[in-house]
Amino acid sequence: MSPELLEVKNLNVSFATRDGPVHAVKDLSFQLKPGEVLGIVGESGSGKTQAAMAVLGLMADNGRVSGSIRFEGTELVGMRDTHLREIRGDRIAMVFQDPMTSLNPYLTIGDQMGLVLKEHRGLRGAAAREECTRLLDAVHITDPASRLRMYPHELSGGMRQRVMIATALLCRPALLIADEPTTALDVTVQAQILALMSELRANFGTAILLITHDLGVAAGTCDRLLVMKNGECQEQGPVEEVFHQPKTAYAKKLLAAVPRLDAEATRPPPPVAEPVVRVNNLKVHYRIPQPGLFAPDRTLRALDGVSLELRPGETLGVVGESGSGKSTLARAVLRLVRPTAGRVCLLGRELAQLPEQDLRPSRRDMQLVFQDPLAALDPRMTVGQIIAEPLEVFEPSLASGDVTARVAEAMVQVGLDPEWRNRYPHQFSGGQCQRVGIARALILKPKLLVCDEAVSALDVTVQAQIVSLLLELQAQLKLALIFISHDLAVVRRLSHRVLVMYLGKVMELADADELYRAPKHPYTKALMAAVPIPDPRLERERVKALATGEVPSPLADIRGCVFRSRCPVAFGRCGEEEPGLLTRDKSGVACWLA
Amino acid sequence: MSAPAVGAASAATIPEAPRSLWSDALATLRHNRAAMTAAIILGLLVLLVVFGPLLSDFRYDKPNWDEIAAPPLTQGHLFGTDSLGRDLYTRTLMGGRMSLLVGLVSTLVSLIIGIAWGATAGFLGGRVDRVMMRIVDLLYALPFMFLVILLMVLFGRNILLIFVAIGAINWLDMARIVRGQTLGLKQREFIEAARVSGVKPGRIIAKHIVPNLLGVVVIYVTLTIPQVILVESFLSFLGLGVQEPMTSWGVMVSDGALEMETAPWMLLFPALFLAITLFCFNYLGDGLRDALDPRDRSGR
Repeated sequence: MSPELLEVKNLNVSFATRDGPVHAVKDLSFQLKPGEVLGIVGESGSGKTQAAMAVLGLMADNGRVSGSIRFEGTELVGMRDTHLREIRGDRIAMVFQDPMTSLNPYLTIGDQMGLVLKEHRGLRGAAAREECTRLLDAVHITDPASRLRMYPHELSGGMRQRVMIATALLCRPALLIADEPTTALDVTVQAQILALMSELRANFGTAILLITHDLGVAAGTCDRLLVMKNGECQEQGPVEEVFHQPKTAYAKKLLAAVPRLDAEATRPPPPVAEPVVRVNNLKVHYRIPQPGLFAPDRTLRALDGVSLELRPGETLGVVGESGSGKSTLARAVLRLVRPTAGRVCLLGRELAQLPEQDLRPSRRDMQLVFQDPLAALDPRMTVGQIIAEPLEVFEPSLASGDVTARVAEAMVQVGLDPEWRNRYPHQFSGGQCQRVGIARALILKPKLLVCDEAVSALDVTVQAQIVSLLLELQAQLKLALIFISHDLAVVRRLSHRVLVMYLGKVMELADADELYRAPKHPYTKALMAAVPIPDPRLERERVKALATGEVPSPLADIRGCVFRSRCPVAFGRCGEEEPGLLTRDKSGVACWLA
Repeated sequence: MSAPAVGAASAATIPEAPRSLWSDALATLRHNRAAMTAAIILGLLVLLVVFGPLLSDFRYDKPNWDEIAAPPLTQGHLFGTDSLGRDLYTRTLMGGRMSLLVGLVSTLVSLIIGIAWGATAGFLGGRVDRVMMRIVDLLYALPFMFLVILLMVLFGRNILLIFVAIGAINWLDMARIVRGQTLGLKQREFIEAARVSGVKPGRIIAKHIVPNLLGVVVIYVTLTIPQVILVESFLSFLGLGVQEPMTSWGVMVSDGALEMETAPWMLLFPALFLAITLFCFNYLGDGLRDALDPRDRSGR
């Protein structure tokens, strides 16, 4: 037997489609030793997931695999499905991206884990329960025995991913394939899961095949790295070598495009001018009816007292984890939801409580760019029609020739060829769709542009292009920009000031340089610590002060500071009084210790 | 794909005029051979039922007691005669007038009311939605036959009433389907994008919601047309619809079914016409649905 656990040679995966065969993986070879972590990185469509699926023998009906996959000395390509099934789940286990969709909502955690034990190890009853409890404990789930009786929806996202990992480890597999295991999770939870995976590898000696688009994640976790593009291996080697002496042009380009938290990116302050938008103590509360006849409604505080000011040409970055109220802030400022209280003043006009018809004239001054570039474009309109729509609404008297000219102008401005205007959105790539979205937002020359996770769904190289485009357009048009993202590194490149949110409240507001150099609030510190740095040496040396636990339910009535339950430095006063945002010179920290 | 160089093409030199969904859809439909064949056959069929009876040597309502149930191609009767000796060819075409008219008019009525009602209720939501859908529920609760008889009693026997009655029932289904689809569409980001752009609700419904509904609507229409033609024959069978000597394909099929063993052509010809029509509507509907969905177009 060879010392390699997994040996893949000249692997080819192709799919038969109506338009001829599509080659997803071309001539891929790699080895994996027991206990080693190999990272496969690449942008979307690079074939990294298909390569892993081929190892598991999970192919779509029209898929064809050729080449050789030897696992523990056994050839897997061409093996009968019944034999494969014995290996799958037992010797090779898999963790998927979305823990919610890969757990069966109708089975309790205990039942799902029990199925694996019954199938592969013949364990059932009390013995199976005991084994499940032991593994849940190993992935640091508190009170494991009672969790076994819970259903997936009763657990948080991070907890579900822990359950998935525990399930995968039930049979002590020699190989764990993790396909984007942390992509759907918040950064603080991602850091916890990555730490867990490293720990389990040490304890169980499991080899891990980690598939990720995030070079930061790969830097901290992997021993070796394989860079893929268009189904081909571009580069392969020890992780430090790939990061510090990349050989191929593509690897260099990919590494250069990754936004870094520790990058120097000072933006000159915008000229002093009258603010474009002034938001004062903005609140959005939802009443959630409770089951039961006399149960009083509960209040969900999606946004709870946020104030900000923005000058022309200035960018305010808004960061926070899911449920922090970032998107609600965007929607309340743009009046897509009606605020419960507070003021939004755009160019001197008070918008917060205006009825929709009176509001409409102000819409031309404020625009939104969406997260999912394709979903934000009507699939049945040509991109020309999509970009022209705001123009037709606000300048209905414009002759059709002028509309065409203005659309062409806007398309050139965002780097699209005007000849493409008769195409439909699905014919464009994600980055191009986002350019269409930006062109639509800018055709009326608005004063305020809100980008809600506008680059989060894009590959890093495309992300870098869109960020550059936004910077360029901002300089040209003196745009005031609210840039919302969960990714602190991207926010850094664009922002003059940064607003850190948690559970609908502002935790910290500061100049970008200062915030990234010396974060003051414990939550900001925890967020920064959790962001992986795409540099294996630095990443391994970092001492991480990770936030424990996960974001509490926004329905919970929290006395005192909202971050208290996860704060490493909380003390008596935090539970009694809520720290206000102490503002000095447009910066502030909501913490008693600041 | 690489982004083009900024300013590669100036705004002044644009070779192509802007196109829209509809012009693109028409162009795609022209390339769909099955749909075009169906459309041509339907066109010929319409011409035939409109002008055919005028050019025929026989009247559709004149019995000939000497030639009862004559087989096809006897005495100049192309399709033969029926049990009263009337020319089956002329009657089939006359029946086609009625069936196509009922099918198209009733479907069109239910289409227009159903889409407008369902899309409005679904998009506006809240109290408006609740009231509008309760009205639909209320109308659902009325027994169909009772409604038809009531109309007959109030207004006397009139062929127009059949259109009204069938249309009045069918739009309810359409409204429900359209509302359900609209509720899903409303959550989509491109609708929110339109709202951010200051588009008024009426225009959002017309420009964004309805075009995105068309796929489902077209399928439903291809199911409705045959259904309506059959409902009409059922009403006629009960004596509430088309009255002798006027006829329709539905009536002719049900009459022909009784004579199936002795004179099979009495069933064969109207059934053949009915089947061809329904086939054509199905193919045309499929073609339309594909043409209206830009994502389905093969080639760029």
